[in-house]
Amino acid sequence: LKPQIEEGIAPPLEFEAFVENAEPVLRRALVAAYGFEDGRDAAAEALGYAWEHWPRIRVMPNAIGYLFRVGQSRSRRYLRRRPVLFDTSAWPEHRFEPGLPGALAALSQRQRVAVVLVHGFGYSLREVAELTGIKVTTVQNHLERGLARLRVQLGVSDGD
Amino acid sequence: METDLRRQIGELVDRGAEPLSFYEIRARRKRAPRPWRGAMVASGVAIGVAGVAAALTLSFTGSPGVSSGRVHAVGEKHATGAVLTAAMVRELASASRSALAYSGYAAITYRSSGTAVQPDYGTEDVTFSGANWNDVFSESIVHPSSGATNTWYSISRVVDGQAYQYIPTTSREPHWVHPTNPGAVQAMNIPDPRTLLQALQPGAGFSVVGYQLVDGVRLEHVRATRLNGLDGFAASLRWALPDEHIRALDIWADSAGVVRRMDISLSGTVRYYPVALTHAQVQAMADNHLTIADIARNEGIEPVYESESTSLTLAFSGIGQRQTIVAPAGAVDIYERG
Repeated sequence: LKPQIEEGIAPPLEFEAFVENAEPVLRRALVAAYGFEDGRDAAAEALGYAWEHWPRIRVMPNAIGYLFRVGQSRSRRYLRRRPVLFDTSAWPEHRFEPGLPGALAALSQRQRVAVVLVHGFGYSLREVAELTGIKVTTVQNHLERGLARLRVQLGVSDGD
Repeated sequence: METDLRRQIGELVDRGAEPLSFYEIRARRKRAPRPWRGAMVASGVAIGVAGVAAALTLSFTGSPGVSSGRVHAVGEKHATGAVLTAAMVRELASASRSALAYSGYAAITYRSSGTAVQPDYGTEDVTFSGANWNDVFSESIVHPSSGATNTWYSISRVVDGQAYQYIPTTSREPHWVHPTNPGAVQAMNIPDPRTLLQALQPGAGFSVVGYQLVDGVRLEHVRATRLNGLDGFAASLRWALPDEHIRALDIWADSAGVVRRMDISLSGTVRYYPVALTHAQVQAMADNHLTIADIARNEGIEPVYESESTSLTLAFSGIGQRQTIVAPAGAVDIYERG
């Protein structure tokens, strides 16, 4: 697409690039933590916060990790007693292991984030550690325990 | 038992929570960062549009600029309007077409006036659900001297590929008819309100006017600033008069980028011949394929040029919701020839 000459208020190119880079990992991490609907909503809150405070966010060394915590704090306000839901009942086709949503929901929040990001999307342990603000070895523990629990619950061995 | 757990987890999460659009992100905050404003306005920054990115704009003005009593301005901060990028306009069009792909309801109102035409106004309410349609059309024409209004209306309906038409009558004849001849559905010529989305052309230079509450929904109001390229769109508007050009185009979209309302103003110059045709002249036109201009030339009557204008409002509702459109009971089968 050709560059557009704009007038007035518009986001800097760097913000667009930042969102393009940060949105997938933020959304996936917060969805892993809080479920489809609330996690996505928390990600939108976090990126909206980034939009409003961009001059401050842009100079942060770990802006995505900071926004992950923004998303957590925003979602905690109204998610404290709500169960984590990965509701696939409305989906017309059944391409997924039927027990997967429930088994994921049964993991601890940190186990779920580690399993989804590292195992599901191939993020490195270091990336997840920076995002969540915990040590690499701790992420690895959460991942291994989460995967073990998941496999037991589903009665599967991961083919890949 | 083995399974591709890795792929399934990834697909489950991405399927259950689709990527966030800039509209959704932007809708979370009322303000753009202040430091951006002056700098961007002063320098006219070139914005690249890449990948999912579309230019984001936020501004508030206190002037709603709409005539409907249901519209209320919200926000009191004034800021310079921003021009939407081409990608953002395409995103608006795409989101609207997707949301309206299957079903919805469109209320169209129009009003034409001018020195050369009889003032008329009307409504066209179009409901669509899959291949089923219902079109309620009403038109009122005001007599120029007496001011008396003559109103008529009709209902056209398509259900399961069958055409039905409601024809108001004072007799005891059935109102609903069911034309069974081939091409009966096409002959009803029900307008598809989604064609008005053609107005979402990147070249129109849409700029943000502000945000308003319309029927409880917070909408972004954008206005076209370059109207020269919209003549083709104007010609496609069946509610407009011939030779009219777009003079103003305002669009309101919700936080998902779906167009909820459009206001269009058109004006132009119409050429007409002040001829009172006799019955013989009408017959001659039919027999010899003559036009009124031919008759006027024969009579030595010069054309008159007058101004005319039309205002048109389109409001979408029930977007993506299933609409109930059923075949009318008691419709009488007819077979139309020719």
